Formats: sequence, structure tokens, C-alpha cells
Amino acid sequence: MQEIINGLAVGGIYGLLAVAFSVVYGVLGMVNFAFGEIFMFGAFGALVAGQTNSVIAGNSVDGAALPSWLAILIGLLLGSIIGWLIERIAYRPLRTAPILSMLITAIAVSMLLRAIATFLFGAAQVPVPRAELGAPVEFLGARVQRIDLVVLAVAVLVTLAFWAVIRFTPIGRAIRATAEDKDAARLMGIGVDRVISTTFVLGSAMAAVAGLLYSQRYGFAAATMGFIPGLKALVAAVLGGIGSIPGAFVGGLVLGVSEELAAAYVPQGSAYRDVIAFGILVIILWLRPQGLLGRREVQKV
Amino acid sequence: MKRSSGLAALAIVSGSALLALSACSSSGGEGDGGAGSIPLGYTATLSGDFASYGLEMREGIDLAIEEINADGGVLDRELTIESIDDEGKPANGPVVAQELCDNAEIPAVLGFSFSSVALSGLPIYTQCGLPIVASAVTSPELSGASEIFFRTVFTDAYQGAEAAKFFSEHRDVSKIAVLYQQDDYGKGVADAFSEAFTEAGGEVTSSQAYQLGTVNFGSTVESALQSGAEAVFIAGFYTEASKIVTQVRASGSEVPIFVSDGANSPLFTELAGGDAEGVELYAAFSASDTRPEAKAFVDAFTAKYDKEPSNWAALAYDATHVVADAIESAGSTDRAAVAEAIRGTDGFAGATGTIAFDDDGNRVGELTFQRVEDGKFVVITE
Repeated sequence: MQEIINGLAVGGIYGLLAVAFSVVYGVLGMVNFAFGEIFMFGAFGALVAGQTNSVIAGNSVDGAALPSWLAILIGLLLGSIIGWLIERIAYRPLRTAPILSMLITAIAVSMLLRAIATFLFGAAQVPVPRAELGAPVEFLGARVQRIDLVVLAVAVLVTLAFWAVIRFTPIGRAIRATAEDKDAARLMGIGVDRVISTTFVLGSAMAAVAGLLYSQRYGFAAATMGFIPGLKALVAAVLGGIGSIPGAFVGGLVLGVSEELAAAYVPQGSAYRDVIAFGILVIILWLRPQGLLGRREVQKV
Repeated sequence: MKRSSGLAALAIVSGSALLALSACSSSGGEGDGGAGSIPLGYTATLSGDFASYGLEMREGIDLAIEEINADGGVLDRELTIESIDDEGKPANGPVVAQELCDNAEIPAVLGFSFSSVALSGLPIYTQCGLPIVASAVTSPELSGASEIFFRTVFTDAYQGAEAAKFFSEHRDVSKIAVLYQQDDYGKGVADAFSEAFTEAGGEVTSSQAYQLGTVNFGSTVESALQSGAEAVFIAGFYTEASKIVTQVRASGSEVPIFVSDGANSPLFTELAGGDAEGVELYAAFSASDTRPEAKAFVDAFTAKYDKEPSNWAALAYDATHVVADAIESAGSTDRAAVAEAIRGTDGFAGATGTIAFDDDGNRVGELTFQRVEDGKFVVITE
């Protein structure tokens, strides 16, 4: 039980990031590797905005010491702006280029952002002050940390809200239309560029939320913090059926729980938890190439 | 005709070379009379990403040499340093070794940032009998690798075993769970710790490895605690150790936690916050050590450099004093005699505690145990 609860909290973070991967894959048919770095900038944005003093590029800089809700908002905003800029500067000029060019650009952008963060914040882990939430809660014989409840609740709510936006709003309809067929959407009077920008901004905001939750759960931020969660989220997105929002989120939860169970019950499992995560991916792709909730014949949702 | 003129030229050249050689050796002979200085070899990585160890060692060495020379030098001669940058490349090990060997005035070598560089140069040092007192390389492969190799730094295995003895003797703990970093360092410490702990009558209830970079230890910590452990020992770096400590406390457990010297960083207490309180760890050296030798070193170092000495500065400082003592007691700068005197070092009171070497050239001495109190590392005196 304890493992499942731990796994759900970890999985919620993977799930959020997986949804970001999934929607961008939906509209562009490409994997935006840089979401791992947007995740990281989200965490750092909130950290710097909320502190009285930070060390940036080796210099001590006075922070804004904003109240935490405002700091969180700034983290979100920073993530979204970076996402928007990436799409505008790096991906849009390649819109008509082969998909491989975009993929390679995505890897380059991810490395560039990580290098910038290393320059700004250093290579070491930076402590993040955690919210005081009080004693853990007993639930079905398991000890549940309040932060885990917050993580899971936020992850579920944000994903639901996002799903509702895609499902019920005009911009959501435009995003779905663009994902279905870009050219047809353009003919129907949809501003495809604007829709793609919006998708990036929304996805980046989700990635930034995931980064914030992650830095609160583990008490640190670091330039390289997004790399492994980014890979895991990609696994989760493929696991759930890339392009599907509920699929991506459920994929995240499944991955989180199976990782925890493996670490607990496989001998020396703690050393091989990543191997297990990627092993699951290989097996799923073999048995069910379209993912858990994916549809076989549809390429884009 | 042509041929004979060539021969004549050759004869002239070789003749003048011989003259030059004899001139060299005669000037060297004068140096031995006591007038010239004694150059100690120093090699380490002094440029690039990993230069900090080498530069910190050099600070300790410079301080020691300053003190020794102010005190009248060794054999009434001043000590100097002949420094060569190995750039952290194993391929440079033999080149540097040859250069130091060829300088017949050098009686001993200090330094070394990387075990790999020391290993690659070691056969050449052995051949020319040039003794080494290293102060930062910890690889087990260097144990007993050569007659002339010594180190003031403790090996990971020695520290792990000493830590096990200390914690089983001084803490009321007989069942312990071990978590270790999956690499040479973590495994080396954990294996030695587990062996010594079992030998002392204790029981290792669970032993789990984890990868560097892991942040989530939920299930790992859970199974460690459910194994019936009365305490947890972590063999790893501060990044993961701080997360394990936080997650052990988050699971509601108040068991004592012991950590290896990888956590000896102010970042450990910053990352773990209040959960770090009471955690105990070992290290070769602590700048807050109150023993007179340590205090005198820290005061002199702070006065000279206006900062606290690091582990590496202290270990190199001690290495320099060990070498100077050995030359003095050997009564000459003959390499074999100096090596013999270094081997005989016993009970030398250094900044990092008493120094002696075992048959493998490894350091024997006592570790500094520290406890986190109010976010600071405090030396345990018991």
C-alpha cells in the first residue's frame, strides 16, 4: 500500500509532463525534448522569485521575496514564456522541414537550455525551502505525506482542467482540428501558427507545474533535474498511447507505481529502477504498439 | 675524405658532450655539500575542470614548506617545489614520472589528483626508486602496488571499516541497514563497513545499492527500515544522502543515521535541512578539530590564505611534513634512504591526526567523527 501511494505521487508528476509531451506530439508529430528543461526552469523561476537572495551566475542577487502563490505563478509564467520562445525561434522555421530535423533541433534546444541553467544556477543542487504542511496522514495502514496528497491532487486537477480546455473550448476545438489535419484546419480558417503556439504555452505551463511539484517533493532544484523525469514522462506518454491526454496521465501513474513496486520487491531493485521503467516501455511497445489507451489506426489526436 | 671529416666532427661533438656532462655532475656534486636547496617533486592536475584538488593540495604544501624553511630547513638546506601539471590525463603519468626521475636532486614526490594518473606513472617511479607520498588518491589498486608508494589519505575501505568499529562500539546499535552508491566509492566503503560491522558482532539487516542521481528513495527506505534495522548507514555523496535522510525522517523513523565522508559538505545540511540534525559522519579532517596540531594548522592556513583549509590541503600539508621528517632522519637526500625513512614513519602528529603507513603504503590513523548540530558539523570527542 505504501509503495502504491508513493508511486502515485511520483506518477502524478510524470503524468503531467507526459501530457505536455502528448499534446505537442499531437499537433506537430514531434517530441519536444526541451520539456524536461522547462520543468527545471519552472522550479527555478519560483525558487528565485520566492527567495530574498539567490546566487545567479556566481553573483549574489537580491530576490523579490514574493509570497509563495505569486512565486508559483512566476515559475509558471517563466516556463510558458520559454516554451513559447522555443516554438517561435527554434521550431517554426522548420515547420516544413523533415520531422527528423525538428527532432534534432529539439535535442539541441534541450541541451542549450540545460547549459544556460548550469551557467545561471551552477551545477550543484540548490536547496528549495518546502511548504510546512504538518504531520503525515494514516491511510489504509500507509503513511501518506501531505505533500504527496497535494502533488496528486494538483496533478489530477490540472490534467482535468487541461482536458476540459481541449474538449469544450473553441481554442481546444482548434487544437484538435489542427492535430487532425493541419492543412484542412487552415482551409477552415483556423490560424494554425497561433494554435501551435497556444499548445506549446499550455504544455509548457503543465511541465512547469510538474517541475514545481517535483522540487517541493524532493527539496531541491538543479540544472539537470529535468533530464530523467523528461525521459520517464516520454515513456509514460508512449505507454499510455502518445497523443491521448488521459492515456498519458494514466501512463505516468502506471510507470510511477511499477517503479516503486520494483524498487521494493525486486532484489536490489533500487539500483535498477530506471532499467525497469525502460524495460516496461519495451514490453508494452512489443505487445501493444499503440499504448494502453491509444487507438491503432489514428496517428494524431 | 668526406667520411673522415664526418668522424672528426662526431668525435668533437661527443667530446664536448662528455665535457658538458662532467661539468653538470660536478656542479651537482657541489650542491650536495649543503649549500643548494632540496627540490621536492609535485605533480597534480593544475588546470582544467578538476584543478581545485591540485591547487588546494599546493596551498597545504606551500604552507608546510614555509614553516620548515623558517625553522632552518632540512639538513640545513631550504626546501623548494618542482611542480609539473599532469592535466588529469593518465597518458601524462609516465611523462611526468620520467621528468621527475631524471632530476637527480629530487628525493621525493608529493601530490597526485587522480588514481589513474598515479597508476600509469608508478612503474617509472618504482624503477628509479623515487618515493611518493600522495594525498588525494584513494583507489584500492594503489594498495601495495609499489614499494615506494605511500599516501596520507585514507582508503575508502579503511575508512568504512574504522567507521563500523566506531559506531558498533560507541553507539548502542547491533542491527543496521546499509544503503550505498552503486560505484567503486560506495561499494568499497559499504563492503568494508559491512564486514567490520559483522565482525564486531553486529548484523547488517539489509544492503541496497542506488544509482548516483536518484531522488526518490520511498520504497528503498521503507524496505531498509522494515528489515528490523536499529540504524541506517549511507555510503554515498551528499546529494543522495540528504534525500535518504529526509525520506527516512518523513517515514516517521527516528533511528540514528550514519553517513560516509561523501556527505561532508555544507550542502548536505542545506539540502536535508532540519532532518540532518543528529546525523553522524566521518572524515579524514575537520577544520573545527580542537587537537593542538589541527588547530595550529588551521590558524596558520587561515592567516596565510584567509579561508578555511580543505581536506586536501590538510592531507598534503601532512605529507610534506612527513617527507621533510624522513629526509632529516635519513640524513641524506638519497632516494632509497628517504623511502626507508618514510616507511618507518610512526606516530607522526599531523593536522589530520597521527600518521603511520601499513605494509601496503596505506595510511593508518584515526578518523574524525562529526555530528550535525544546529546545521553545523561538530567534532565528536569521545
